[in-house]
Amino acid sequence: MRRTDSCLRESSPLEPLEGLDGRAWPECHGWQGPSPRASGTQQDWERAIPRLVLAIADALGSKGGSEVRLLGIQTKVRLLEARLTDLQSRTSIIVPIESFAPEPIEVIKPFHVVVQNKGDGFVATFFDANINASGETEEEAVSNLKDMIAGTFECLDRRLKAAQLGPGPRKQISVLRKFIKWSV
Amino acid sequence: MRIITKEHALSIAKKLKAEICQRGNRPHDIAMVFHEGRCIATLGIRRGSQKDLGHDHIPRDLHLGPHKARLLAQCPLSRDGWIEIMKQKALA
Repeated sequence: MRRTDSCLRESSPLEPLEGLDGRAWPECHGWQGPSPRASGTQQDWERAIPRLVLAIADALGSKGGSEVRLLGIQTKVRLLEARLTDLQSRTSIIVPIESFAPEPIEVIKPFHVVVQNKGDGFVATFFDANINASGETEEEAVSNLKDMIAGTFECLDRRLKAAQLGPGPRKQISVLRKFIKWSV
Repeated sequence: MRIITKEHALSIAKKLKAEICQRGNRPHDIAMVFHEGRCIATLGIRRGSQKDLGHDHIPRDLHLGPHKARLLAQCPLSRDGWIEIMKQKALA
């Protein structure tokens, strides 16, 4: 039997729904169970009600199942988006440093610095010497790092004596001297 | 969101009693932190009038994680506390 809501006729909320042909609503919607008018016995109802409940549960289940699947897919997409954002934020680029022009510093041996995304900006680091700088862009971070390398070299090499250097700065100047020197 | 701003960096430099190494019109001043007459850390402070200028490199300069660097900029971590951390890392 075709299911159609057009078979419903108006009824008060307290009355059971009936189809236009006078049959009860479940029957009108394809339910094969007996109507009280057809058999009139309580045994028929006892057999029919579980089938009706199962039919309704099936109908609700198929609709609910697709919604659950959709929710699952949406959750997975959100997780993947979060993971992608996290991975993008961890992305690093490696930049070779070959010149400090126009600073009066000569590169003895080119070296690499790492630029990492840090939320709103970027941090460039020369890990060997633990010299770091920030910037709004990768280029600015690298440019600032070059200035920091030059500044650290100047302060530690020219303004302080060896005895004034603690373990960290001593290592910094030692590393820097392997890679850069003052140009004449 | 920036973890350490220029305002934080200046607070840290002041708290650690850093000596500023002036460098003319260069983009950074170098702040040197001394302990028992020896420089144990240097940090770069960007020039510019913006108080919220990003200084997220400062934690690495100080051998700290971002959270502790921020504690240093605010109140909870003192200079002595930081010196203690540096000693534990054999850096002071």
